[in-house]
Amino acid sequence: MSSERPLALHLGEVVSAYLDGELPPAERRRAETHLAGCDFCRDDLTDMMFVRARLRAMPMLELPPELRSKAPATIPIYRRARLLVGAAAAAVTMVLALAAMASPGEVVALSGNEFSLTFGARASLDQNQTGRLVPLENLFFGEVDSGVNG
Amino acid sequence: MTHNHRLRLMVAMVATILVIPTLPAAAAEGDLASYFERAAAAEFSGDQVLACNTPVGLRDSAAHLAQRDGVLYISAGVDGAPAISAGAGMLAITGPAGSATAVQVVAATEPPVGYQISAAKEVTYLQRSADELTLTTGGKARVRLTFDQGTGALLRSETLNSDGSVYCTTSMTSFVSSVPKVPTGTSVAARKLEKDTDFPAEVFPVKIGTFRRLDVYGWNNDGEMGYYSDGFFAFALYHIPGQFSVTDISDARTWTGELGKYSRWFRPGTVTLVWDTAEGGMALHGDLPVDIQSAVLAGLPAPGRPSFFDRILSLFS
Repeated sequence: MSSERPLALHLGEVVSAYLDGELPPAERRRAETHLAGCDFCRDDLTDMMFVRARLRAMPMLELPPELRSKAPATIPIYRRARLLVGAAAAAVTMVLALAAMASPGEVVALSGNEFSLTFGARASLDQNQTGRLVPLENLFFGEVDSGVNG
Repeated sequence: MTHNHRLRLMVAMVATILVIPTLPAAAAEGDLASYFERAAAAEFSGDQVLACNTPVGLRDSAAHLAQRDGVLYISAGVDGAPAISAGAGMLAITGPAGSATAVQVVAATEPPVGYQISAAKEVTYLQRSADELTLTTGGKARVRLTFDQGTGALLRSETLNSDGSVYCTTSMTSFVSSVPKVPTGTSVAARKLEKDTDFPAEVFPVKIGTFRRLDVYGWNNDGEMGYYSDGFFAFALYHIPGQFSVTDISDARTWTGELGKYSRWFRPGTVTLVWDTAEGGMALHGDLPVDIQSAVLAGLPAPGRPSFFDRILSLFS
């Protein structure tokens, strides 16, 4: 394959249409005449034929049933791959959305007496707790200086 | 059986019948209830010291108490201003600048009594005649209570570890048996806790060891608080769908229990444990001695954050 490639003098996209048999007869003859005398376009033609042959040689994959009913059975593999990539992307997006919805939830920052208040209120209904209701927080009490508070 | 044997058996039976009434009879549970009933109605004032030997050192505090009309007023003695008032399902904290928070429980059931009560032993405490009772459970003495004979007030309470050593002591250091002056006209808007019947059953088991679930309340919007008692010791269990953060609790320490790691801190007379579970954030707050803490935690959801897939699945459950 040549490294030089003059522009506007070659077939370009016409090579693909030529391979697909999409050119009208007059255009097709002109393309064949050009290819006969142009190394660059023959190289393009050879490369494109090689790629197409490799793609045709790849195994056919089974589409999921839910996609199969909507997709033509004869979609070439490279187009199927696009579909699969799209489906995978959609699945990942859905999982991420679910994960966001299922986040760990609210974080409740504790300062110290949230529990004491409710526990103390409930405990004050129990006779065996009455009279020995314990101090709620040192904030409200004079702490004894015992020297060993850890 | 010979005649001699029959005679000996009859003598033994008669002797047993005669001796039994002379043995000191254990006080019935109803007697303990009447002690507590008198204590709740007693009118007195005095100073109280509370000291607990926790695994992380001594936790102790002192306060001035006054009880009247079934409400216990507790203050730190600063300007004589009340800091806490409690009674009949209400607990209010009044701050130094007049700010106040309060909680009122609007429903409750009677706690079970799961202790054997010893006969009252007459003792002298603060130069006053008093009755000392020992509460035993599982064959071990766990509580000693000293009630004033004159007023019925609870003068001293000792809770014991499983090895018989003292865990916490609550003692009146001075006692005045007259109707105390108490603050009046302080009205506090109480936040009410209402009973909740739609709570996760796996988070609030009916029984945890010897503790029974007495009631469950709505708490902190979409959380719940369950109250448990074994007849003497009690704890509240908290659950939220999210997580608790303890970054503002300076003395919270990581403690490793049988099932995993917990954040734990002690205050005079109380312990608090906080942990994450697959069901959400949980916390336990109560007056449990250390060995009972471990037994209770063994019956609750284990520490561990919910996995990514647990959270996804929770959306569909």
